[in-house]
Amino acid sequence: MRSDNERKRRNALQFKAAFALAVVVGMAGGASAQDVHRGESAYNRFCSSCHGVRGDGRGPAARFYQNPPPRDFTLGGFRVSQTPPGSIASHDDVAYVIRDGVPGTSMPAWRGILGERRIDDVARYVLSLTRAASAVAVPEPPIVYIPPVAPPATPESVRRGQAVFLLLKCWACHGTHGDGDGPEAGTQRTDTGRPIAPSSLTDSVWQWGGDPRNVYRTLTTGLEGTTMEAVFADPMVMTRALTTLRAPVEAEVRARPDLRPSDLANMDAFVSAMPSEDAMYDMTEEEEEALFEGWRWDLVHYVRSLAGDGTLRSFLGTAREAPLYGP
Amino acid sequence: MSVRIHGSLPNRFATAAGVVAVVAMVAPDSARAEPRFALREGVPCSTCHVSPSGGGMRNRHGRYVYAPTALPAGYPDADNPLMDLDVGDSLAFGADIRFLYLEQPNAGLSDTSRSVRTFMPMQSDFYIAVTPFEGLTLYYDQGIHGSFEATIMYEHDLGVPELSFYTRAGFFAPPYGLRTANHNLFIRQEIGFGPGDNDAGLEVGFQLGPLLLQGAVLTGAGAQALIDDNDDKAFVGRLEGIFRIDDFRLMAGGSFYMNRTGNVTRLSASTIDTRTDHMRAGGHLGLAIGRFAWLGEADLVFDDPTEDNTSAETVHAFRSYQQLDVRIVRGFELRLDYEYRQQNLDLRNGVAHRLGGGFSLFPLPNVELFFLYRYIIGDGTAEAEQNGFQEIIAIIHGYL
Repeated sequence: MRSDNERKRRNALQFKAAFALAVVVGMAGGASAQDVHRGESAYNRFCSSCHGVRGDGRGPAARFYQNPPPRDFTLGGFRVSQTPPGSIASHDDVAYVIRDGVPGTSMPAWRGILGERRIDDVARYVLSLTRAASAVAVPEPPIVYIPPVAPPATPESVRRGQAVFLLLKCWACHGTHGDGDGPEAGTQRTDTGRPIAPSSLTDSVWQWGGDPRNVYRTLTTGLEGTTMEAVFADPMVMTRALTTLRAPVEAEVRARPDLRPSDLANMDAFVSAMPSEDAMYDMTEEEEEALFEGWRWDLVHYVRSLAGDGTLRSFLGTAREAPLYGP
Repeated sequence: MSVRIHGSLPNRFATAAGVVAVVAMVAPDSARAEPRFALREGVPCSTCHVSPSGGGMRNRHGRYVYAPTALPAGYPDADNPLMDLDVGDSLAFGADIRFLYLEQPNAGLSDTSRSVRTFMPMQSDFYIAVTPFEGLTLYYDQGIHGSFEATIMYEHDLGVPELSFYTRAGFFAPPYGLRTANHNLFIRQEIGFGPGDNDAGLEVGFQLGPLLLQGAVLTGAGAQALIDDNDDKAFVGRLEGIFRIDDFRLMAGGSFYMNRTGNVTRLSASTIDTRTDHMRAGGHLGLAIGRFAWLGEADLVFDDPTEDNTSAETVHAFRSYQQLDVRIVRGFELRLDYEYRQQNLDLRNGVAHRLGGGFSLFPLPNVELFFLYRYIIGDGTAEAEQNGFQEIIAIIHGYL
C-alpha cells in the first residue's frame, strides 16, 4: 500500500512537472498563459475522457474504444500530418483532426460544436503535451507543400493512376482493387504494437479526409505510426520504383490471380507511354518534377475513384453526423 | 392540467381517481436511459453514465463528448457551447427534467365521453456524484416524486487488459434487461422493473472487453417497503455483450431475477401464508448500422404463490418489446414501437398489442422534444381489456 501511495505521489509530481513544462513550452510557442489555460480547460472537458488528462490515451472511456484506441499524445505519431515523416504534426494538422474527426473511428468531429478559437486552443494544448513528454526539444517542423488546387480527374488520369497503384505495389496492403485485402493485410502493426488493417479504399470512409488534397497529403507524408509510407516523399525513390526497379514488381502484378484484363491493359499502356531511362536521364529537374507530380495526382484520382459514389453509405448514414448549424 | 369530466358525481369521483392513477402510472421516479445510443456507439451504457447499468447521471464522456457530438441538431452559441458542470475533478452535477403532455381520448373505456388531457411535471431528477479518489464514486439521485437512487461504488481495473470490476452498495435499479427511457413499457413497469422498483442491495459487475456480467443481491422489498420484512432475498443477474462488426453494432444479453415475497404469520389458531415466488427471465437483442437502430426484449414472468398461500393469484405471462429508430437528419429521429403482452400463458389469453409511432427532436443542446402516439389492440379478456386505448404523449426533456 505504501509503495502504491508513493507511486501515486510520484506520478502526480511527474504530471505536475510535465504540465508546468507544457505551459512553458506552449508559451514559448507564442501562446499566452491564458491561451494555454483555456486549451487545458477545454481539453479536460472534451478530450480527457478518452485521451486521458495526461494525454496518454488512457481516459476512463478509452477501454471501450479500442478499435482503434485513442491516440497517446505523449508518443507523437500523429496520423495526419503535413510535416515530413518522423516529425511532430503541425498545429493545423491537429486542428484539422479536431475539427473533422476521424470517420470510421470514435474520434468525433467538433466542427460546428466548438468554435474555431476553442479548436485552436485545444490543438495548441495537445501539441504542448507531446512536446512536454519528449526528452529533447522538439523543433518546429517544416510544412510540406500541398498545391491549393487539384487538377481535374479524367478517365485517362484514373487509368494511369491504376498503373501507378499496381507498380508501386500499393496492392500488397490495399488489395488489387483497393478492398483492403492485399497479401500483407493482417500482418501489420502500429508503432505501439497494435495490429492494424489496411484501409479499404472502396468503402467511402475517408479517415484522413477524402478530398483530392487530403489524399495527396496522405501519399506525400504517409500516416505516421502506421505502415502507410510516405510514398511520394522522395521523388527519386518513386522514380526508381517506376523505372529501374519496375520489372520484378511488374512480374508480380501479372501473377496476381484477381487481376482483370483491363487492369493489365492499363498497366501495359502506362509502361509503354513511360519515358525511357535515357529520356528520363536527359530531363531537366523541372521536367522530372512535373512528370512525378502528374503521377502523384494520377494516383490520387485513381484512389478516389475506387470509393464509388457512396450511395449506400449515404442511405445508411453514420452513427454521428455533423451538426446542421453552429459556430 | 386540464381534465374534462362528464357524468354524475360518483362517476366524476371514479374518473378523478382514475386520473390520479394515470398520473402515477406515467410519472417516472427515476431517470431512465436510451439504450439505442449505447447500441449505435457499440459501447456499454457505463461509457456515458455513472451507473454501470446506464440511466441517470451522465459522466464526463456522456455530457461533454457523446451528447454534444451526437445529439443536438446544432449549436447557437460559439463561445460557450457547453456549460461546465464539474467542480474540480471530484464533484459533478447533473439533472433530467421532463414535462409531459398526456392525452388519453378514451381514458375510461366504459364511458368514452371521458378523456384526459394533462400537462404535468413527469420527472425532475437532480444528480450529484462525488469522486473523492479515483475509483470511488458516491452517487445520489433525488427525484421529484420521492424516489431516489443512492450508491457507493468502487471500480477497479484488474490489471488484465480490458478486465475491470465494480461493486456498489445502496439503493438502485436492479440490473435487468434494457434500461429504457420509456418506463411504463409492458417489459418494465408491468414485470416489476419500473421506476418505482428500485431496491436496496449489493451489486457486483465484471467488464471483460465487450462483455458485462452483473449480479446483485437485493432485499426484494423494493421501494415500497424500505425495511425488508422477510428472510428471502432477491437475486438478479444480467449478461450483456456489445460488439462492433465492421459498420454493424450488435447487442445481445440475458437477465434473470428471482425473489420470494410475503411471510408466514403464525397465529394461535391459524397460519397465514402470503409468500409468492417471483421469477423473471428475459433476453434482449439490438442491431444498428448508421442511422438505423433496432432493439428488442422478451421476458417470461412467473409469480407462483406457495401451496399454503391461497390469497394470491398465479401469473404465468410473457412480455416483449421492439423499437426501431431511424435518424432522418442529425437531431431528428423517427420511432416505431411494438409491444406484446400475453397475461396468461396457460390459458393463452390476455393478449394485447401496443403499437406506437413518434419522433425525438433535439433542436438545441440539452433539450429533447419527444412525441409518441400509442394504440392498444387487445383480445377482450379481462387482462387485456384496454382494447382501443389510445395515448398521445408529448414530452419536453431537459438534460444536463
